[in-house]
Parts: sequence; C-alpha cells; structure tokens
Amino acid sequence: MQLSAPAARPDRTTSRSEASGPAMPDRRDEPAPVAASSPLRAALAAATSTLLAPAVLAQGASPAAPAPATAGATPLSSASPAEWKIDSAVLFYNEAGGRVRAIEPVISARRTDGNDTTLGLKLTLDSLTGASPNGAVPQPVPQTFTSPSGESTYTVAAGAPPLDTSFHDRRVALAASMERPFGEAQRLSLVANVSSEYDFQSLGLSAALARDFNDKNTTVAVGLALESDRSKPVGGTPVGLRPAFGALAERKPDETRNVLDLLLGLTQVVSREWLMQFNVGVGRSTGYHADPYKLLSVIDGTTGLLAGDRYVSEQRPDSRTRVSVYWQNKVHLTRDVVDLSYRYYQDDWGVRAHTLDARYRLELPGLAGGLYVEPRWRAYRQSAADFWRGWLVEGGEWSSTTHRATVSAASADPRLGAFKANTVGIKMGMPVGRAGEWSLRLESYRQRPDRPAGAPGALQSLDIAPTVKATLVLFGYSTSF
Amino acid sequence: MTPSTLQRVARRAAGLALCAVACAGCGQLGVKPWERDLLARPAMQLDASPVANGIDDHIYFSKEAATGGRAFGGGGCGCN
Repeated sequence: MQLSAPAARPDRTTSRSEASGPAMPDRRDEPAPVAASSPLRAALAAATSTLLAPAVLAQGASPAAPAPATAGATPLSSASPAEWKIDSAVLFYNEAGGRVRAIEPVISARRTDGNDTTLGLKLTLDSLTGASPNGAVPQPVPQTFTSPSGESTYTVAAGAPPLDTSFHDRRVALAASMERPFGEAQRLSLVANVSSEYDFQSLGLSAALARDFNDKNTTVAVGLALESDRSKPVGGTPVGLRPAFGALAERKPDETRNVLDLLLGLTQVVSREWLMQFNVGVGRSTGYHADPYKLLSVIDGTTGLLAGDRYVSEQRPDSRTRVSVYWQNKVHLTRDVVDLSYRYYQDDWGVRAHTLDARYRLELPGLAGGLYVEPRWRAYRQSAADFWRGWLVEGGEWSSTTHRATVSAASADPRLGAFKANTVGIKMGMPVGRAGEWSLRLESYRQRPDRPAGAPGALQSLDIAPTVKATLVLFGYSTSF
Repeated sequence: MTPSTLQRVARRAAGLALCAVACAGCGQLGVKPWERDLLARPAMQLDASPVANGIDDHIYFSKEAATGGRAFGGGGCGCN
C-alpha cells in the first residue's frame, strides 16, 4: 500500500494554460504547466489544476503494494469520461555463477470513471530457474545431496557453495483493486490478491482509508492487510531440526501461515518543492515460517568437516513480529527531482536493517522528447536473526546420538544472516503520448555476507560467505487513454 | 557506511519526521492551492513508477530479511 500524498495527482491534473477558464477536471495525464507562456497564465493554470485535481497518488494494485490508500477531495464533476491507464514492465534478473535467473512480466490496467472511482487489475507472471543456496556449508571434498523431490541427486564440487540446481518455479499473481471517495476529503481503497506457485498459494485482502487535512497539505492514512498462505513443498514438509535425508527424516503435511499488517502513514507538503511521507508499519505472522528446502550442515567443531547426521532440516519460530519506519522525500530542484528515502526495520527474530535509497532524476531538456536519466543508489544492511547459524556443531547444537538439536530454532539461510548490500543503477525514461512513458532500467546488486566468526578447521580456508551478484534489466511502458 | 553512521542517520530521520508532524499540526507547513505546480508533476509523485516499485519490492523481499515500509510487505510469494 502506498500511502497518499496531498500533491495533485498528475493524471488528474488539468493543464489549463490553453483553456478558456475553469472547467471540470478532465483525465489528461499532463503535468502542470511548469513553463507557461506568461507568469499570469502560469499562475492561473497552476491554480486551476490544483483546485480541480484530487489529491490522489495513483498506483496499480500490487501484491507488494496492495492498497493505494489515497486521499483527496471529491471531484467537482461526474460528467468526465472514463480514463484508462496501462502500466507494464518486464524484468530480467540474473545472478552470477549460475544462480537464479528470473523473467517477470507485469501488466496493470486501471479505469477511473466519472465518479472518481478507480477499478484496477494487475497480472504478474514470474518464471525462475537456476540454482539456489541450500544452506549447507562448503567442504574441501565434493558433497552430494538428494533433491527435495527425493527422486534425484546433485553433487557440489569441493570448496564450492552448495547450490540446489533443481530450483525452478513459476508464479502467477492477480490483484484486483477498487478506490473511491469516501465521505468528505476521504478516500477508501480495497485490494484483493491471489498468488499461486506449484508449492505455495497465497490470498490477501487489504483496506485503507486516507483523509486530507490542512488545505490538503497533510494526509493521514491507515491501512490493514490480511494474508493467508499455504505451503505445499515438493516431497512434503520436512519436520524441523531432524536429519534431512535417510530413514530418520520426518515429513508432515502442508503448512499454513497467516499475516496481519497495519500501516499508518502521514504525507506532508513541506513547501512548493518538497513533499515527504512518513510511514509506520507493524506486522504479525503466525504459522509455518521455515524454508522447506533449506538445510544446515553438522560439522566437527575441530576439523570443520561433516560429522554424524551430516545434514539437518532447518527450523524457524512459528511467529514473527515486524516493525518498520519509512521516511521518503521528494525534492524538486530547479528542474531535476531528488527522491531520498530511509527505512528502519526490526523484528522479534533479532533482525535489524537499515535501507537508504537515493534517486536523482536528471532532466535532459536539450534532447527532444523530454528524455531523462535517473541514477540510483540503494544501500542496505541487516543483522543476523538470533537463530541464524552457519552450521551446527556435533556435540554442541546437535547430537547425532539422539538426532536432536539443543536449540529450538536454527537456519543457515543467507537471507537471515548478517550482510551488506548495494544496488547501483540508472534508468532512462522517454515520455510518449499523453502521460505515457518508455523506460529502461539497468541495475547491479551486490550482497556481501559477513563471514561467520569462529569457522573451525577446513572451513577457515573456504569461501563460506560468497558474495551474490545480480544484474537487473527492466523495460517499462505506460500509457493512458 | 558504518552501522553507527546509519544509526545516526536513522535517529535524525526520525527526529526530522517528528518535527514535520509537529509543524504540520501547527499549520506551519504546506502551500496554497495555486502553488502546487511542481508538486503536480509526475516526477514528483511519491510512487511515480508503481509497477516498477512493485517489482523492486518483490526482488528485495526475496533476497533480504527486511520488508515493508513504503507499502505492505510480503506480497503472497513463497520466495522467502
């Protein structure tokens, strides 16, 4: 859910610099007349567009951003024709070293009618192949694993990070949204989304209400989201902290997880050039949180070599409480726009994370067509979950005599370990038609895990915390009519 | 960037945001309706590229432990 901003919504903003006088809000996606032919005309046009523009930020329904909790005044007219907005993108994601490759096309269509009610539909397809870390630690000798289905094996070379090469998935997600005025200076939005993979299904509902204050300079929004997930792992759900393979491995039926999220948002116009948003999010999930395909190695505490039961299925707590604070700023310079955001995150698993995201939209007025380029830098770091372990030590956290752990939860998933990540990229955008745009984004992502302390024996000379390098290419096209 | 630097940034961000809230309550911030020309530009919208931002959220949700903030986190994916 993107909480609202009291700025005028561009796709409702009427550029009246050429109009004969105040009129009903039309649906043109033209920016306000920044450069009109005369100061008086510019002032009139800006005032007209502002007075008539609902203070709404539009966005397509998205599973990740389900509810555009938008705010704004009720439009003055119900006679305007309906407007369609199509927003589409294709992502090509590729990790170095034969890891994950993904192609993700997305298309979103929204229709706003004369009563200022917007209906939206968004379809996301996701196709993943490649290899994914299985959680085991590298060894100075080759390692052989059984695939999750139990029907095949794969072997990892000596010293190499253990990657499950059977990794592949397809996901289809559909989101439907409705957004409409709801009383004086309020907007309500509702979103329903379903997502399906061959081993995972999810159903989500969200609602958000936003209200304007202070001459539309301040908007307060509150949103609530519910999600229900069902996990159906290939080969069954492994019972956590049991030997991963062989006769001692235990399986159980499908598992479920329920998520409740609350998001409070404040959007504030600071000045003519500065808009900011401040969100606080709290989420609570209960049920199955483990990754059914992740393992931990059992090693000898002196030699660092595999010992006893060798591999153990991971176990995570059955609940998680997350809190995030997000602060975003949009600052208009003379011509360019700076987008700067910061997020602090923490959860009761012990993860604390900081995210800084900076974009600079550089307008290139010398080139035809309003071309712009937008460099981006994203910096992220997180601490490890309390139960994260690079491995289990035989006779320490694990006993191969009893085949049980002495800890209640353990995971070697690199995503729960401590690491730093950086994204550097550039986007090129070319406005086309009425409020349409072509764009191309190229980005490079680097995730550098902290090397686990106290690696014993053979592990000292191995790369037990390999860097993840990914390249992203994103084509985008949007239009409205 | 060191953790202590990031923590300082976090504290300052929270402080500034609280100041903004306090000032907003006093009606000290904001613009008149005829001063919204720049704010109305597509580039000035907080979520200027919703589909691309949704894809971003999905990527980072699948690679990192933190989620949410800008919007609801997660998003019906079994990838994490």
